[in-house]
Amino acid sequence: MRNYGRMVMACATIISAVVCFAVSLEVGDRREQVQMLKRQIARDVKEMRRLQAEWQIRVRPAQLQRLNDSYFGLTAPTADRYFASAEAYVAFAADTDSVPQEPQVLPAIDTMDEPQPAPRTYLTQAGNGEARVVALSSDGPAVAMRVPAPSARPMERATQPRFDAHAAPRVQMASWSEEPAMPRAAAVRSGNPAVHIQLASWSPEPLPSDVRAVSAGFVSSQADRPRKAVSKVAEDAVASKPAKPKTEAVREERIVKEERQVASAAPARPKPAAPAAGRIGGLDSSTIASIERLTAAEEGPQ
Amino acid sequence: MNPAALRSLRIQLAGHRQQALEQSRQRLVIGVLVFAAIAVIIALRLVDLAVLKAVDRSPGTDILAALRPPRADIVDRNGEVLATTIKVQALAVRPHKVLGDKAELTRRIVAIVPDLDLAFVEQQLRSRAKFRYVTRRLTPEQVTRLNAIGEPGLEFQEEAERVYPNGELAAHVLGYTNIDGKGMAGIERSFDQRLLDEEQLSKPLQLSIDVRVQHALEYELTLAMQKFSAIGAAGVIMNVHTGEVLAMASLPSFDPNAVSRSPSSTWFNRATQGVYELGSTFKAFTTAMALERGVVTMDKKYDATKPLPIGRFRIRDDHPKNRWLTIPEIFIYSSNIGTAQMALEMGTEAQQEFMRKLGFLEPEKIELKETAQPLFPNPWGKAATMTVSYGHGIAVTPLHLATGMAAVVNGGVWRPATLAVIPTGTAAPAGQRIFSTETSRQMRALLRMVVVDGTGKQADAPGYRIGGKTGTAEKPGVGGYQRKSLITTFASAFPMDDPKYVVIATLDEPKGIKETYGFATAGWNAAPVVKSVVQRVGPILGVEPNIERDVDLRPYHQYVAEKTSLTE
Repeated sequence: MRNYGRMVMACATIISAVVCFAVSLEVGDRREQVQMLKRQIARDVKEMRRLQAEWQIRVRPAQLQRLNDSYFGLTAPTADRYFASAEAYVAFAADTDSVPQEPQVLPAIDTMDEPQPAPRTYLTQAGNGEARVVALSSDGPAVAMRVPAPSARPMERATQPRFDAHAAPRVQMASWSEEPAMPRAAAVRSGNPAVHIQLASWSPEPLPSDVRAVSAGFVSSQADRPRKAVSKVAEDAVASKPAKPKTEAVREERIVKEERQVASAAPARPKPAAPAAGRIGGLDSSTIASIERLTAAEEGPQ
Repeated sequence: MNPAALRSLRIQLAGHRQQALEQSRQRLVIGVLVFAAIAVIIALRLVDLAVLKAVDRSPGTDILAALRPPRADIVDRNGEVLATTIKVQALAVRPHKVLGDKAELTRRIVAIVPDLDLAFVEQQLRSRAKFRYVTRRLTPEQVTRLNAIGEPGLEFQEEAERVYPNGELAAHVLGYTNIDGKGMAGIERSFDQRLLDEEQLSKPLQLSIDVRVQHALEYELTLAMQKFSAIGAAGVIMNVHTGEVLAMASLPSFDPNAVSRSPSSTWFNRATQGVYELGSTFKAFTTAMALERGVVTMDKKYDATKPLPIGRFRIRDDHPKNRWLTIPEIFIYSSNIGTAQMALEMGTEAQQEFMRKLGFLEPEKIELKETAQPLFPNPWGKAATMTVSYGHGIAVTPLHLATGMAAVVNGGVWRPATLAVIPTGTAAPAGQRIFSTETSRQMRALLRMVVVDGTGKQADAPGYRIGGKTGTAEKPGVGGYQRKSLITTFASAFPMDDPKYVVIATLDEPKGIKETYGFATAGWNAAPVVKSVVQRVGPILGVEPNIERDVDLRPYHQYVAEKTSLTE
C-alpha cells in the first residue's frame, strides 16, 4: 500500500512536470509567433509610408498635367458645359455639332439682397445613360457628369493625342526632380550677357551675379495657344553625381568619430519612450491604441 | 581465541565491511545523483531561458517606432501628402576594409546605380579616409544587388530622408530641411518644433494649401512668364471669409528635394518677401476708403482735364479723358488725377489710419518667417498722400494685396492670412471691421465694372463673375523710374456677386508681344492669367460658372458716360 502511494505520488509529479513543461513550450512558441508578427507589422508600416510617398510622386499634379497634355488634351469645363435644362442637354447630346446652348443675354439680375433662386440646373438620365440626375444650386459644386466628349469641337483639344514613349512616367524612387515640361533653352538671352536682374529695387535679396540660370529657362514661344507648347515633353532628369557639400563630409567625420566613441565608451542611450500616436496612413487610432496596450502589457511586468 | 569467537569476529568484521561497502556505495550513488541533479537543473534552466522566456528586444519589433516617423508629415487641406519622411538606404564605403579590386568594384557599383559618376566613385573608394559616402537614396532593388556583390567594405546606412513628392509645387510655402533634418525655410522652419514634437509625430500638419489650386496657379503663371518673357511671377489665392491661403506661388521656383541645384535667387519668395509698388491696384483701397469716410459719393465728380501739379512734378493719367469724371469713371479709367484728389480730400491721417488697419504698414502676419516690411513714405506729406493713393510711393507684398482685397470685398472685415487649415464648420477668425457692408457692396460693383467694361476685360471668364483691378507700375531703378521694366498686377475676386476667393497675379518685367500689340500693361498679361486660373480652379473650389448671374450694375450706368471699352 505504501509503495502504491509513493508510486502514484511519483507518477503524478512526473506527469504534472511534463504537462507544465509542455505548456511552457507552447507559450514560448506563441510568444515567438507574436514577435514575428510584430516584426512583420513594423516592416509593413515602413513599406506603407514608402509606398505612399511613391504614390504621391506618381500622381503629382505636374505629372498628371503632362499626361493630360500628351494623351487627352482636356481643358477645364467652361460655362457652356453647364446646361440650363434637361432639354438643352438632350438636344446637345443628340446632335454633337450643335452649340450647347445659346448664351442668354439677360439684364443683370437681382440685387444681392434678394434671396437666392431655387436650384436651377437639372439633368436627367439621357438615353445613352451618360448623365445623372443632379440638382445644382447656382453656386454649388461642379456637375459630376459624364458628357461624351464631342468630336466636333477640335478647338478644345490641345493636340491630337499621340502615344509618346517619352511621356510615360519614368519616376524612379531615387530621383524626383525633373525638368518641367516647358521647353528650356540652353542659350542665354542674346545680346546682353550682363542683363541686370533686379527683382525690385528695395528687395532685400542681393543682385545675383549668375544670370544664366535664371534667364535661360524662359523663352517666349510663338505657339498660338500656350497649351500646345506644353505638349513637348522632356526626359526626367535623373540624379547625377550626388552633390557633396561640406556638410556631408562633416557628417562622415562625425560617423567615424561616433563609432570610435561607441567602441571605447558607454552603452548607447536608451530610445525615447513610445508616445501617444494619432492617425497614420492606413492605421487608425484604435489599432494603434491596441498596439500600444500590447507593448505596455509586455513591458510592464518585466 | 577459540574458533567460535574467531568465526563470530570474522562474521562481525565481514558484516562491518559489508556495511561499510554498502555505505560507501550509497554515498557514491548520492554523490553521482547530486551531480546529475545539478546537471539536470542547469539543463532545464538553459531550456527555460532559451526557449520559454526568450524575449526578442531587437529594434525590428518596435512597432511604435516604425509608426512614428522621425519628422511629422505635412499634408494639404485635402490630405494629400506635401512632405514626408522615409527611410532610405545610403551606400557608404570603408576604403581600408575593401577586399578585391577597387576598379572592378567601381565598375560593378556604377553598373547597378547608373546615375553615379565613375570618377567620383573611384575617388571615394581610393580615399584615405575611414568612411565615405558613395551615394544616397538607393532603391530596395539596388540595395539587394549591391549587397549581392558581397564586398565587406561596402556598408548601408539607413537614413531618414525628407521627400517632397510634388516636386517644385508650393516649394516656397513648404521650404526645405537641411541634411540634419532641421527646417531651413518656409513651414519646415516656422513649424520645426511642432514637426519634431514627440507627441505629434504621427499626426500630420495640415495646411490650407490645395495642391490642385496651387498647381493651376503655378502652371498658368509659368505659361504667362514664358509667353511674355517675364523674369518672375507671383500669385496668391485666398479665401475671403477665413483668410486661408489656398495657393501661394512664386516663380521661378526650386525643387525642395534638391535645393542646392537651384540658384539661390529662386529661394526668394516673391509673394511674401518681395515688396513692390503695385500701382493702380491701390485705387481700389483709396476709393473704398473715400466711400467709407463719406468723403465721396458715386456721383461726385473730379476735374481730370489737366495734369495735377504737385511740387515740381505733375500727376498725369495714362489715358487722359480730359473731362470731369465721376467716381466710377475714375475707377474704370484708372485716373491718377481723380484718385489723387480723392485722397487729398480724405486727408493724410485718414489714409494712414486705413493703411494701418489694412496691415500695409507692417509685415504680413502669416506662418512664415520669410516676410518683408513694406515701404512707405516718411515723412508722409501731401505729396506722399497723393502718390500713395494710386499706388506709388508705397511698396507692399502680393500677400498684403490679397488680404486687403479680401477685406474690401468680403463685407469689410480684415483678417490675417493664414496657412493653417481652418476646417469647414469651424468659425472663421473674428477679424477687424474696416469698411461697412455698403461700401463693400459698392466696391464689388466697381470692381466688376472694371472687368466688364474697363481695363480688365481680358480677365472676364464667362460665368465666373470676376471683378478686379489692374495695376501696372514701373520698377524704380537707379536714377528714376525705368520706363521699360514693369510690374503688372491683377487683383481680383470671384464670383463678384458673392465673393469667395481672391486671386492675385503679378508678373515681373513682362514684355509686349505681337498678340498684345506691343503693350505690356496688366490688362494684357496679368488679367488673362487670372481668367485661365479661375476657369481651372472654379469647379474645384465649388464655384459653378453661371452666365445668367451677375452683379447688378444697372444703378451705376448713370454715372458712366461712355460705354467704350478700354483694353489697356
